[in-house]
Amino acid sequence: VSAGVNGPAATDAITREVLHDRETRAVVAAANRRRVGQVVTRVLVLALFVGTWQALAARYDATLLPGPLAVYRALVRGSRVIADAAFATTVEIAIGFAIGAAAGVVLGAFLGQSRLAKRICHPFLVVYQAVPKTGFAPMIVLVLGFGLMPKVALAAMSSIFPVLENTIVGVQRVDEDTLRLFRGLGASPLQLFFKLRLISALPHITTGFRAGVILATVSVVVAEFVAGRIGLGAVMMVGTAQLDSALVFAALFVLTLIGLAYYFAALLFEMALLRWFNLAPPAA
Amino acid sequence: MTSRGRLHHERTEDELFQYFYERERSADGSRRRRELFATIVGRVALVFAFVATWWVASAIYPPILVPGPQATWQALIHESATIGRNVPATLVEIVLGFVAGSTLGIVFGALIAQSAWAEVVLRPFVVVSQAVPKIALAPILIILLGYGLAPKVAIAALIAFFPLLENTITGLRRVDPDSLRLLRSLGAGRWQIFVKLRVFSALPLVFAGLRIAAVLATLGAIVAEFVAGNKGLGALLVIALGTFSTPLMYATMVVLTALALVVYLAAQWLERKALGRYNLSIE
Repeated sequence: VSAGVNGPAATDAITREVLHDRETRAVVAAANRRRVGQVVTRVLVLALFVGTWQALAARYDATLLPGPLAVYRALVRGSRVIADAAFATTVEIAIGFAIGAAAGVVLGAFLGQSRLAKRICHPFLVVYQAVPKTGFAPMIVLVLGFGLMPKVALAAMSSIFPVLENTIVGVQRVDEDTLRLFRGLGASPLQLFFKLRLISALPHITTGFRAGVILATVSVVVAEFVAGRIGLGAVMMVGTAQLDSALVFAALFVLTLIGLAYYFAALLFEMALLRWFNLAPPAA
Repeated sequence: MTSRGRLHHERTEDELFQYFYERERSADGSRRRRELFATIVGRVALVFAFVATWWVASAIYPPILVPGPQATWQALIHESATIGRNVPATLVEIVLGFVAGSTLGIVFGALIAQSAWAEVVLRPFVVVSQAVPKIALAPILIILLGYGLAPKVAIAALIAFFPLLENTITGLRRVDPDSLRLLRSLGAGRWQIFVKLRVFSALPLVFAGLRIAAVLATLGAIVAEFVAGNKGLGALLVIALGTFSTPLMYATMVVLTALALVVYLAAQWLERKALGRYNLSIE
């Protein structure tokens, strides 16, 4: 009896296995093909961009639009100036963003906790959000001089807002059931804050970090435009004044790399932190 | 709870209810009044603290570095003609840049969102473009377009473009799958799905993008005037910095803040109006 039952069942299992295997392989192959197609298309889009740039540069004067090759040569020629400037810009962004982000988290946690404080500050926050912080660059330069400080101050001023806003939202959006559980187990307000609210706000806070680090980069460059002595913004202003467009493009290229490096560093930090605390990224 | 016979009992219950209801309502009202009072006091105190800090700073620093509130007010009145002459230029740059940048962002976003494949292929470029400090293109655009109105509008448009590009793509692609299935099963075509579902589900994100773009267009116009300007509030700020006319700089900043706030509130008003009309909301 057992052999009669086993026979067809075994062949059935094998066919199913084989079919499943074949299907899996087909699906994986299709996915691979699609991925290769995407990468190839992306490379083509990039090549199209550089090609259009080179073609346009060939038509216009080198002062107006230097081509990729001219920019590369300027990068090599001015490598020492650009390296020094890039170092200054990198440091300014790092310090300014660190100050702004820390202040944003602390202030946001406070405002998210107290309904009254949030209500009092609301109109001021709206004004602060609407005003282009970089407009304050000349005022800050007057007080803090032409060195590192005004850039750091402006970077902190611009990067504080997205962190602040996201922290307020994150601290307030806590799972009701977990909150009740914490209260039921007799958690103190301090424990409630550090072990529940702050942790569950982390996905929002790191989203704010990502927006903040971009703003810090932008405002450091603008401060360097206004108080041009150090940094890539200053190099760009000198290049503009001397009509050395290739140098301007070279500085812009390095600046873009710095901006991207900071952005992806923030992204990696976010991913690592969320994995460590086993949290999901915020919806939308 | 009670039988029909005991009317007086019901009445007392009614009265009890009325009594507690009134008491709770008055407690609620007085709490709200107290909260409102605290809010107003807090806001006034904050404004006061701000002005006091400014005043103390102006007492510590020489007036050429930090003029006090009073000196700023006087500059605002005396130099109102100079400042007023520079407002239209900046406003025109902001509005033109905002309209051009956001329109192009919506159009290109809608085109890219037509194809899931195009969206996937272009996604890394869209993400990277967000992280690139576009404002740094200002000197290059000025070399290309000269010192007139064009480069300022171009920069404002350029940085207003990207939030709308990303938000339009995301909004159009992320539709409720159930609604999509329903429309498909009812035999809706591509165009009908786009017009009747995708556009509406994209609206909240598009308007959020418009609000961000309004702030960014202001920023772009000001920075472009910093870099190369003979007209506009940003140019006035830099000229005041060069000639150490600090009170004029502070007065200009006050006007600029007001201008930026008006632009932002206009965008916000439009957002509320449009979303309210179609009964939509963000999240």
